[in-house]
Formats: sequence, structure tokens, C-alpha cells
Amino acid sequence: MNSIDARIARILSVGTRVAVAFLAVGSILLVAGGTSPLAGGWPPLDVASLPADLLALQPAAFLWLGLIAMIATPLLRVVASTWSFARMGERRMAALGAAVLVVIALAVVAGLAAS
Amino acid sequence: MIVGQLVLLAAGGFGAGVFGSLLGLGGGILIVPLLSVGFGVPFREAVGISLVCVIVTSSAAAGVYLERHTANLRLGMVLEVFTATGALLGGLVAFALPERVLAGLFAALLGWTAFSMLRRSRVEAAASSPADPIDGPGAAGAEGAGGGPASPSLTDEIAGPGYRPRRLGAGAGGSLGAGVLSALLGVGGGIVKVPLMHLVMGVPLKVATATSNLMIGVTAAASAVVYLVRGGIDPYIAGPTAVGVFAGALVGSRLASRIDVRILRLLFVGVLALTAAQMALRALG
Repeated sequence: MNSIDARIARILSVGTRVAVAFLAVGSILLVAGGTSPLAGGWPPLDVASLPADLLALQPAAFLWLGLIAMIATPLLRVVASTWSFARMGERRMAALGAAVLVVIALAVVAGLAAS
Repeated sequence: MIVGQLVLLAAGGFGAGVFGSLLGLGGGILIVPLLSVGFGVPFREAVGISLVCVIVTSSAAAGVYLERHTANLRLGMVLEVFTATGALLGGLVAFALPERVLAGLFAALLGWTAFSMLRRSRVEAAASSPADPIDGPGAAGAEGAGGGPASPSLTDEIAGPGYRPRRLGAGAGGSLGAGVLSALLGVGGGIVKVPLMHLVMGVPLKVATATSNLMIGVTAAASAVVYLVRGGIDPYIAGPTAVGVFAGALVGSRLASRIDVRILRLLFVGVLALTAAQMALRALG
């Protein structure tokens, strides 16, 4: 149990810091490019063009990646917990973790369907 | 001008992070009014951004709670199934409700939060009594009696040192409601989860607070996914605000032992009451 706690704590800490780093870089690039953060009309999220936009130092790409990393961090924690419980033979806890991941997957599908 | 706007957003996030950390809040209760009342951001967009900020504070603090073994990971995973389901439902309903209704609900939540913070000192005093939160090994009642040593019950699996959570059904129902609330209003839902675990399920207050913090990230992520996919999160505002919240949460955690939180709490109740009035006026048009 203690090793699970330590591993998950590390995932949360690293994930948060990486996400905040992307958000900070994106915010600085935004100011450097002369765009007001309160102007509205932000570019839509396009996952396929993210790598190219990152190489082109587009602020929105860094901000989107930071937001995705931030939202993914607690989900990674659930994946890691589920995996650890499954390896330890705690099937009930592993099933509960899997159920949370199914709900998140449903959220993505429902969001896509509604948009 | 542009730099000033960025600094103001980051500073607002910083303040929310410091206050949230000092007062044990996720920060959403501050971010939503800050953005909607202070910066004129539409309410639903403010909720989407707030959900991201709630994940920031949860992820930053939950790691510390886990390292100190204060949070009950197994209990959190049981209740997360219900908070995440509630957050999914709330995230879908949020786009169907008029913003004035959401603002009205938020005003009510602010009022309730102010009221419960005033009462918190009494709850904390009760929690320090050895008889209240820590249940003995036999205190789980009938729910804990079903499993033998070869097949431990769920209650046995989620028990911690000196306590066994009880009334799992009520905990599940309350968690579902907390998830809906989180998604509709952009808050972590700790205002529901902590009393639910502590007063209803018999979990010690410190464990309830830490476990709630751990769960908040997943709850907020479930609805943030819906907001993200539907284009409900403004990255230009979310970026600097979330960076500010992260820095504020770090500073707040270091200030916690040096500041008299009781005085801070009373000041904060006043701020909440004022903000509740502003949100209520907005809801009334």
C-alpha cells in the first residue's frame, strides 16, 4: 500500500508540474505575441495540429497541451491505482478503478456527441 | 495593458490558491466569482476554467496527503465511481441550463459555504474529542459483518487505522450529488464530501479532508473533459489563472502554520457573503 501511495504521489507531483510548465510558457508566449487573454475568440482544440503548432511556438498549442496534461494527471492516477491493485490481486478495487475510467471514457463520448 | 491583464488573472489565481490552501478549499468557490464578477467572463466559461484550477489544487495537495498516508486511497476509489458519474451527468446538464439559474445556484452555495465555515470551529472542536470520529473496530455495524477472513467485505477493504467507514449507500448517494454540484458550479465539492465522510460515514476529519482532496481531481476531470471537448474552456484565461493558483497553493501550504486561520476564516466569511449577494443580483438580472 505504501508503495502505491508513493508512486501515485509522484505521478500527481510530476504531472502537475509538467502541466503548469506548459501553461506558463503558453501564457508568456501569449503576451509576447500581443494577444489579450481577455479578448475571447480562442482557437479551437485541434489535437492533430498540436505538434506542428508547438514547433511553431503557437501559444494556444502550449496552453491546450498544458490543459490536457492537467486534466489527464488525476486520470493517470486512477490508471496507476487500477494497475497496481490488479497486480496485487485486489480484483474488487481494480474493478472500481476500471469503472471510473469507463465513466471518463463515456464523458469524452458524450461531450463529442453533444458538440 | 495586455501584460496587466495577464498579471491580474495570475494574481487572482494566486490569491485563490493561497486562500484555498489556507482554508482547505479547492479554490473553485473563489475562481468562479473572480472570473465572472471580476473579469466579466460568462458564467459557464468561468466554471470550465475553475474546474481546471480545482484539478491543480487537488493534484498539488493530494500528492502530499498520500506521502503522509493521510488520504484513504481505497475509500476514495470507491466513492469516485459515484462522484465521476455525477460529474458526467452534471457536465451534460450544465450546458442545458440558463446561466442565470447556474448563478443563482452558485449564490446559494456561497451562502451555505459561509454558514458552514462559521460553524466549522464547533465541528473541529468535536473532532478533537477522541470518542467522535474514530470508530472502534466493531463500530461498522451490519455492513462490516458480512465478510469472513477469506473474503473481506468492501468495508473491511476500505477501513483505515482505528476506523471503518459505515453507511456506504449514503456515501455513494451523497458522492453522486457532490459530482453533479462540482460539474454545474465548477467547485471541487469538498463542501459536501468532507461532512459526508466525516459525519455520515464516520471517517476521521483529517482523513475525510485528505481523501476528499484526492477525489476532487478525478471528479473535476470527469466534467472538465466534457467542457474541454465541447469548447467550454478558454485556454487564454485558464493558462495564467491556473499558473497563479498553483503558485498560490504552494505559498499557502507554507503559510498555513504561521497564520491564525480563525481570523482569516471570519474575514473570508464576509467576502463570501458579499460575493453571494453579487451573484444573487446577477441571477435576478
